[in-house]
Amino acid sequence: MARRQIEEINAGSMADIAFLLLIFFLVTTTMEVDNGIGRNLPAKLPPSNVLPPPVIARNVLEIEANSNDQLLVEQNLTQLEDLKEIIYDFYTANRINNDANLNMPNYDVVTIAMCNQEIATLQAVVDAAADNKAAAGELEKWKLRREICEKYPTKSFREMDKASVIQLKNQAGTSYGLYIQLQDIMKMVVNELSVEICNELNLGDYTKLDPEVEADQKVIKMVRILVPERIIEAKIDR
Amino acid sequence: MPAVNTSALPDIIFMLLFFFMVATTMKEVDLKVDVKKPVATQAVPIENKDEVDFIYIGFPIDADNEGTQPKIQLDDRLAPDANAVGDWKQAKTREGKKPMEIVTSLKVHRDVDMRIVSDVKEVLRDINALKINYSADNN
Repeated sequence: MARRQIEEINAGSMADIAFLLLIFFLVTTTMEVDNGIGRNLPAKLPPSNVLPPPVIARNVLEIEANSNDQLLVEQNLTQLEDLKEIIYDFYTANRINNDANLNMPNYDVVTIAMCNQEIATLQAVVDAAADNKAAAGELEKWKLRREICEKYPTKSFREMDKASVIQLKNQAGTSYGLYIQLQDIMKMVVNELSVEICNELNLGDYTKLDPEVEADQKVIKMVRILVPERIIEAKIDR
Repeated sequence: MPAVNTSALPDIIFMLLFFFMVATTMKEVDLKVDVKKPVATQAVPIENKDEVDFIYIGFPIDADNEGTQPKIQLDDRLAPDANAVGDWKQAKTREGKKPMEIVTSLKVHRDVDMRIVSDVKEVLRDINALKINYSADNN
């Protein structure tokens, strides 16, 4: 009795086809991971006649970089290695107690009663005009401040002066490499302080927070109140 | 001498193929400028590359025709000046997203000076595309 033979498909060229596909993907793709520092540019404001409030010197940390990539911090020639400590001091010098002798931003006490009062006022404004985005944003911030208050045993916390700001000035010839190093150092200080704050308030590991998750987003916003990231960039000199 | 059995060869190649398909991403553009990225320890990975627009600023690779001054590359073309960024960015629409909500990543050579970078930033501010990302290497 003859056995029926099932004919097999010749798979000898399968390897060649797979090789072709493999080579196609090798050529058209990259493995490079893109890293970067995220920032928001300041929005252009419509022209207005209202003068901005006067700048208080102690609230501003002035960092200037010239065309020769030299640094001037608060008018003093400074090495890049020392900048981190200076920025760290700017944030923390008055954190525990305001020292009037230091040329650093003051910290203001925020209490639950203050938060409630602000929330009530702002709520009235938002109720009257629902499209008032600025008031709605402030309202959200004050609600977060109230939550921060409740996390502290004293039911209050100290917040850095809201007008405090780091001012970055470049010249046309400043190298981009130096500019990124400055951005990097500022980010480093903010990140380190944020990690500290998160541990202090049991908000979890700051480095593991995911801005896509709503609960984490809220924590990030709370930390940004405690460790503000206010950087303004002056127009470059030409 | 019997021939080596190669019937498992396609399987091995397919495995390699799948590895590369999963681990890599499509190249965005052919670079016409040389971009040696700056170093920043705090740089974090960009999560979703499809939802980011890239602007390359660097020294032309084809220096004979394009000169040695830093140039801006938008998609596959070199832009004549920073003002071209505005129209380019506004045309970059994605489904369900406004162009201005899309992050713009600046991939800039570390030796380029700030003049051209701040021109680009100023144009982005003018069209209200405020979310940017400074591309940098992590180490």
